[in-house]
Amino acid sequence: MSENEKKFEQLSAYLDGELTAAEAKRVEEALRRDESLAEELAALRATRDLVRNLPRQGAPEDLADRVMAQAERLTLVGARGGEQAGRPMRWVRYVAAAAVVVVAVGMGLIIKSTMDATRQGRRHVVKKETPSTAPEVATRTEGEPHKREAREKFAAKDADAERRLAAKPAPGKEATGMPPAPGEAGEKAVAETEKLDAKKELPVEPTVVAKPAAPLVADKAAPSDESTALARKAAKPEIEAAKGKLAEADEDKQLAALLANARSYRIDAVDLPRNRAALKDEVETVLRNNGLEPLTFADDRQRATTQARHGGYFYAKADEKKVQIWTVVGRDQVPELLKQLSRTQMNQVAFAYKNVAAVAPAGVAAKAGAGVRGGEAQPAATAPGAGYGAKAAPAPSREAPEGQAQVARADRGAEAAEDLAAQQVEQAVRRRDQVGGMKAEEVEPPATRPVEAVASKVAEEAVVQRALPQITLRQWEFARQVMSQQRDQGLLGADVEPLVIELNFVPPEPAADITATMNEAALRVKQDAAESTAPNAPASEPPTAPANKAND
Amino acid sequence: MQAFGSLVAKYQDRIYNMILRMCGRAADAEELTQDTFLRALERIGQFTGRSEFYTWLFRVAANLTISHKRRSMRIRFQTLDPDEARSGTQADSLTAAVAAQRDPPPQAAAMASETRQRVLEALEALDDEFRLVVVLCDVEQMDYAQAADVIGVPVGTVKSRLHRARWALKEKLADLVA
Repeated sequence: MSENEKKFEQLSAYLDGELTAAEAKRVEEALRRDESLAEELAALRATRDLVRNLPRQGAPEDLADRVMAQAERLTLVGARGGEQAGRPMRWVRYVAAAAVVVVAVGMGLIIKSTMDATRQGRRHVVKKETPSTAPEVATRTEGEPHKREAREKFAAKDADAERRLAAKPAPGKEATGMPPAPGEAGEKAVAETEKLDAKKELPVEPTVVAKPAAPLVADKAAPSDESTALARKAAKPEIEAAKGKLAEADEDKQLAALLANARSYRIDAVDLPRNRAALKDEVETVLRNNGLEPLTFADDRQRATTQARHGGYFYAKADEKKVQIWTVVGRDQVPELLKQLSRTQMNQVAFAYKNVAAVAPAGVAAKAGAGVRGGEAQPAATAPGAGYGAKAAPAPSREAPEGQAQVARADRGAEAAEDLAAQQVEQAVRRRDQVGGMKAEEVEPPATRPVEAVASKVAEEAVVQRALPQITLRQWEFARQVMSQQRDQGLLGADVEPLVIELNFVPPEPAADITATMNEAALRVKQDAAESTAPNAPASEPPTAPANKAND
Repeated sequence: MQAFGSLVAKYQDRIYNMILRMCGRAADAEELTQDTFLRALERIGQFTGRSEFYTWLFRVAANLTISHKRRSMRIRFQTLDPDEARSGTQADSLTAAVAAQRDPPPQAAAMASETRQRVLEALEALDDEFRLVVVLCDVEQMDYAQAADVIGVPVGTVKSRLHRARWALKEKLADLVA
């Protein structure tokens, strides 16, 4: 850099205030001395200001929405081809590349050892070659006629060599006993014969090949080779499991799980502020396309009453903070509906109510207060605090048996969990009775049925644990918070403990989760590999699925 | 996801503006801005906290933009509409409204538009490495250390590149600078 150029560079930095005090002082002195330098500074300042004064362009209005929608899609469908997914795959590729190198070295050693063995026992090998190699050669050369021809040619030459060797007076004197081909020609013939023999030894004499080769490989490269192979084997399911966990599985599976445990659904679409109205329109369009006409209700009571008298309805509205879509539609309609909704551009939180007091007919609502064992429903009118069911006008009695039957069907899948929960509750009550000397009914008012409420809660959590391995503790807590708010607002009965399912809701700290998962996966792979290479270690087993955190 | 949404809301305008000044086309800038945030989301694990988040985000944006420019080097589209980059944005409507209120003389408005176009063309004529320094230091008004962090070069390199870029701009815009 010339002196002049350096001076101008200092001038530019001076303009930006990026010089030290001493440097700035020197520049100022130079500016005082040199007018042209001052003019240069003015020109630089004018140039900088021209660029600075360019109008700032804001991002388009809907850019944030699009980014968020894509981010959600990426996270939901696991379409991330990026770093988190790519890092382990690259690691596997590196391991695979290392394995190839190790295998190549091992093969080289095998060939070398085979050639050595050939030199020592060529006659033995050649004699055994003919009967045992025929099928193997056929197998190996299948589909490669030119190789087969070459092998046949080699075999013919070997036969000649064998005849010559058989004619020799004593073994171990091949060099001197060769036909009269002295000098280089003779050495070539020996070398060629050796090459041909070496080529055939691999399939011909497995014991000869394997025995010297195995120790060589084991001595020099066995640990890395073996551990590499094991690591690769172990890494695949581990990484797949991690990816699956991160991708939150696919929508259809979640919908199936949701359907298996719920009879009615509520979806809170917590959308971005800007597109709320558009989202409501979109959701209503989806619903209409499914043959569901929008209804409006004066209040929750009217809604519950209407719902009790009809097979199903939906209700959609956009309030200040979110779009709410209530659906209590036929089960056959729900899957497609949810599937479509889940593909809209929004965060989705779906709550599936196992106890359907909030939105179900009175006969069903009664069960929510009465406990979880099928057929134990109370009459709606006597079920205290049974949410909408209690607030609504009593449903026609003819609907109660149907509601009970529906509940029984819905709960059938959860019977095992309920039995377990009931046992746990009974044990807890027995312990409490022993300790406190009081019966449950003396402690709590009978109307609230605390034992059954606890049973219900335990059973629900058991169902969640069983049916929704993907749900996270944070999601569970989030949903519970929402439910608590709704209860405070009087939208839910105090004794209604909903089974909560959160669909496609992505935790906000993916990096930590991903890093932890990947670290965990890497450590487990490493550990598995170490255990597998240990003496008498059992073969590595596929790793277990990530632990369910729902009820940690 | 809410946290990510707030990051998007906070930085989208700066990132978009930076990319727009780098690539010159609104459509590309939109796409690259989206890609920047998605890439950042994917690679958030690489953010170690040693630098400021926004410099890290700018680095992602700069790398994507330069890669994009290299890919599309063979086919270059030059807009014939100087206002294309501004169309359809909220800022655009706001600017138009303010401009209408001020009601500047048509001649002055035309001159301002021409000056802006000249500056943009001069900027576009710079090589990417020089252009990026100018965009970061003069458009985004980062200091040298921040720009160096974004670009991943020493501060001295930023200083040198910025000087050379300004020199080139000054030559091209001599009549405006005088």
